[in-house]
Amino acid sequence: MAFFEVKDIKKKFGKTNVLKGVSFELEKGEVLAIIGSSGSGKTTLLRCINFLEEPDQGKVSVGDDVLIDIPSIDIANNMSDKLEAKIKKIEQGKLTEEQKQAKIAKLLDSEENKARKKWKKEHALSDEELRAKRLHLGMVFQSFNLFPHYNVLDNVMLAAKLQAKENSKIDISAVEKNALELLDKVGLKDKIHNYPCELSGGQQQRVAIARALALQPDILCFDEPTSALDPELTGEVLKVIKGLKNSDTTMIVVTHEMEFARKVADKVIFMANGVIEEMGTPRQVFGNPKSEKTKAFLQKAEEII
Amino acid sequence: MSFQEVTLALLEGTKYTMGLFFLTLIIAIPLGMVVAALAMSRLKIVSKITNVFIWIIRGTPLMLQLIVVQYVPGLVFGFPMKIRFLSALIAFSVNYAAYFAEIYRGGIISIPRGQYEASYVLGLNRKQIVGKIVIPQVFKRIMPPMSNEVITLVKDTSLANIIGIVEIIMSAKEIVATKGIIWPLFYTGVFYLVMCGALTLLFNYIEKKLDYYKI
Repeated sequence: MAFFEVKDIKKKFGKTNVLKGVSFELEKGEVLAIIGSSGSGKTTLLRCINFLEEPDQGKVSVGDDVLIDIPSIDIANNMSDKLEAKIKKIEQGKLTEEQKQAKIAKLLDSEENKARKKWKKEHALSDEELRAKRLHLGMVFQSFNLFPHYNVLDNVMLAAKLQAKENSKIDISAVEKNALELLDKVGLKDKIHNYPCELSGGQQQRVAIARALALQPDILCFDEPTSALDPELTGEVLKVIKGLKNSDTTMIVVTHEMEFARKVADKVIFMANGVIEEMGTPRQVFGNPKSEKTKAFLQKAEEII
Repeated sequence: MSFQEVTLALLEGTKYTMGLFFLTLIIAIPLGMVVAALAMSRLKIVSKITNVFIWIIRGTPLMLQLIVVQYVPGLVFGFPMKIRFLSALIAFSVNYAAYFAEIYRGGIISIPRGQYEASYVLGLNRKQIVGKIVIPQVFKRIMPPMSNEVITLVKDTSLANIIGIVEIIMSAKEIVATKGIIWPLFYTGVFYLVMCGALTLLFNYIEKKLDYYKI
């Protein structure tokens, strides 16, 4: 069994099928780059893994801990008598065949949503349980999302300090030492007393990385960490992420930086239309893509450069 | 009537003006939080009722509300309001609580979603998110509209003379009526200017103190 497993994640927003069953595995210390055009579901996948979005179905586990396990709900093959009667009624009605099909599909859809809601209600986690699961993962956002009213050091220490308050076993002085070490690692030791508004975008993103690392997550996720930065600042952030590779942090990076994916990732996933179109080592995906879609995407990315 | 005598008489009225002002703030600031919480409740019924309440309070003149609080209990329920100052305090507190609630609500919804998401992924619980992330930022954001509203309150207290509270304007009107001089009425402006000036300085100071970060 792999260290981190994602199995058959599906997610709909209204009628839009954003994720149509995504599965992958990662070993400890591996770096996964997820590439693909906008709207292919990369960010939604990351958000589902991070509990920022609730998938409709799928399983996520880290080591022996199951984080998410939502079964598929197959209404069409497990119909109640009442539902069957309803469908019969539609079929015997006066609508055209097309209208009937649409109506049945809509009915099944709403029944499925109801059943899913019911399941989720029955299996709802307490805030504490959810929090414990969440802490397996860290997240770095495209828009940094630093807390503007805390200085750099406090941004990094806040969560660990709050945990220390609740749990007397955690040593507060160790929290500060750890935060300072991390800020040194991302090259911001001289900025610890500055506020986020006084930093450049690249510096802010490096603080966000230190903040995520402070909780020692098993998996650190990056959601397009450099998309809000100009090329110069992009470099400094990518360098920091690259530097983390040597430590044994497992990372998932959603990115548009092809060069970064090629050089730093151990594994690359190309997503298109809510499915994994191609997965493999950077050499396989970039050097010898099998899918036509991957080829087209890479060619376009190449042309821009 | 000498300048000094008029000043003393108006200072007597200032006691009621300031009393009404401070007591209204003490009640309306927390009451507004309750109203804001109800208005943002997940229970649709609760938020709907609260919004109707806010609509009525903001949609009718404060002067009318003063009259309603003073006279309706006696006329309709046979339970006359004996202390006029209490009527004024109730009307002002409820009225300002509704306005404050809207300011609080505006401040809360202006906090970007990313702040909540960052808090979630860092494992903060609901209480910590509200106490450590949302409220400190809301506090800064609502300062300018709050200072506006508080300064308006100073001047609104003069409406209380409609139900016979002898505040500054009422004191001046009494002098005008009995002594046949009109300048004390104009002189009241100075009292309001001094009070509002002090508040402006206070709010400038607070806003400067909160200026250590930008949003």
